[in-house]
Amino acid sequence: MYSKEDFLPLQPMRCDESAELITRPGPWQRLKANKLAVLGMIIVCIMIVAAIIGPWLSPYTYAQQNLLEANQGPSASHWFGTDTLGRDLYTRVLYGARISLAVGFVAAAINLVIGVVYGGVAGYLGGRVDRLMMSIVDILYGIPLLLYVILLMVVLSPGLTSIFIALGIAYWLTMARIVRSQIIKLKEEEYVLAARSMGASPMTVLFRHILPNCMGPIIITMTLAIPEAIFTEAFLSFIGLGVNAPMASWGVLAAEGINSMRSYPYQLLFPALAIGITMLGFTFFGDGLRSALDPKEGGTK
Amino acid sequence: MDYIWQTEGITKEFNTPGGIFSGKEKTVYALNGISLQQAPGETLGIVGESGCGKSTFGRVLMGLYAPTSGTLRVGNQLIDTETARKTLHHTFQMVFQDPYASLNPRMTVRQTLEEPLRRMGVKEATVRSERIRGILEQVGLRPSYSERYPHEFSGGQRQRVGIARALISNPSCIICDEPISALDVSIQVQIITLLERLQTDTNISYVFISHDLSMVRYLSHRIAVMYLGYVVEEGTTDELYNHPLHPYTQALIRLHQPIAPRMPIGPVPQGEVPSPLQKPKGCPFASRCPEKEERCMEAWPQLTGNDVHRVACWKR
Repeated sequence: MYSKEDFLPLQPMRCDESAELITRPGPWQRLKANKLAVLGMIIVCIMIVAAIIGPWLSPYTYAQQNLLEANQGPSASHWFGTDTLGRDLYTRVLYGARISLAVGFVAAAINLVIGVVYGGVAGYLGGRVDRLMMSIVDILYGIPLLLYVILLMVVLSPGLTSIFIALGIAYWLTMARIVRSQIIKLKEEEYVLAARSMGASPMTVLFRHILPNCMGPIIITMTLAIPEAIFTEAFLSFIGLGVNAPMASWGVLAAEGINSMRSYPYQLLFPALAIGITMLGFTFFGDGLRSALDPKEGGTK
Repeated sequence: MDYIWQTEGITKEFNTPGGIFSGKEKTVYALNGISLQQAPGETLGIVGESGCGKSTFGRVLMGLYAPTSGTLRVGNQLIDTETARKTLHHTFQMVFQDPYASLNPRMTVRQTLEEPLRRMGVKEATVRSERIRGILEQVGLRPSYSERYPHEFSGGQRQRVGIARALISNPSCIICDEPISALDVSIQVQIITLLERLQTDTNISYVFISHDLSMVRYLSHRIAVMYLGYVVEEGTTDELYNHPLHPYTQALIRLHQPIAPRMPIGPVPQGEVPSPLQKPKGCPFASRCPEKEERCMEAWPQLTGNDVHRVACWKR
């Protein structure tokens, strides 16, 4: 049975101000909570450290040949075995990490600096400027990367420099397009209009309101660009347009390993593993970074 | 009488760019000579169908669009240069329609509210947070909400944040661009009550842009009815609702009566709103007007009348 008390209005609830204060994990905590992202971060860090100090810890150099020890399998003295010329594969893979990672980071930097700024300016200004800037991108897009590299060979000798320049010409195009389309979408948002109506300068609007909101696509594009650049370098080296022998990148090592894949599969296995693990690491890390920087994900805990 | 702002013959044309493939350049005539003014502490309601130019007018006031011709005066100052337009945010602030879209999803409430304060040159962090505390209380939000992100609020709360953002820089007029049409009915009432209370407390003016006639009637002191970029009728709320003169206003008000069974609602404007790509030669409403005559097609009627009631129709 109901009593009269059941129908009394509720007492206004006593509100404890401190109870309302929610502690929200910051980006770093959210990144740490994501196991895959931490794994990716560890992989990337190990690769960087190994690339920097690894070759010094090895008794061999990347170019040192010892024909008596050619094609040896993995052993205590040669952890990853030796190649057809008797060079220590472990040293060469670590040395290759330097080149491959350098290529990856240069690509990322180009993406971030040129791609984001170029796309940002084109998208934000719009109109004629946008059309002109995007026509340039379209033209550059139409020329295959291989052609740049071959043409660069006319002026420069094959090597890391020409690879970097080729990446510099070609690797910000996708980023510029993605950032531009994001900005065109975002600049019509009401909060951008609100910021403008409060008298915010174009720079404030672009860097405080628009760009932070396209961080997701930017980071995804960048994490995709790093492995892609590493692949491109591997491919260019594979066809002989990249680094010169006896220098070794992972691409060169894989190319050499393929020749003797049937008899000495480990010569392909180790460089391929290095490429694969690094890409996984970058992808996990990038995805984790994207969700950690998005306040909508993770939420309150 | 001193007005906060006054416009005379404001027009706004938008050009759609012509290209190699998209053909000739087209001009959209969004505003065709808007002359309005507002007294301090008053609410001016602007009503009309979608696409009639009411939001465009709000944005011209805000300085987001430069008018194609016509003058805007704030107080005694003529706003005719880009530099002068940049100062309009001292007088005007805006509350937007969609509370989900009008707050930056990556900024906490505090960051959102701090931005106008920084721009006003409030350097001390303690002064800023004191002001934010005060303004949040004023719009009915707990000060502890200031560290929250927009997605952690309900629609009504977000709109309160939007109002707080408009209020924090002490404008003399807030342009409310359909501030309640994206909200639930119960929340609409809360927001309207809040706007009303703020007006009593601070004597702020509102330009209330809406298509919700009952809300406009409830809140406004004066109302302007817009059609196809023209003001067709303007007057005090009571006068306009009790004696609507323009056939378009009459139809709007008639159609907005509560629907009772078998109650005749009278003639309804037929057809569609004409395209704003051509400026009509005569009265803009002539193509749909039940009372049109020869002269309505010939020339555009001026907005005539007195301070209490003005109408643009040949037959009134």
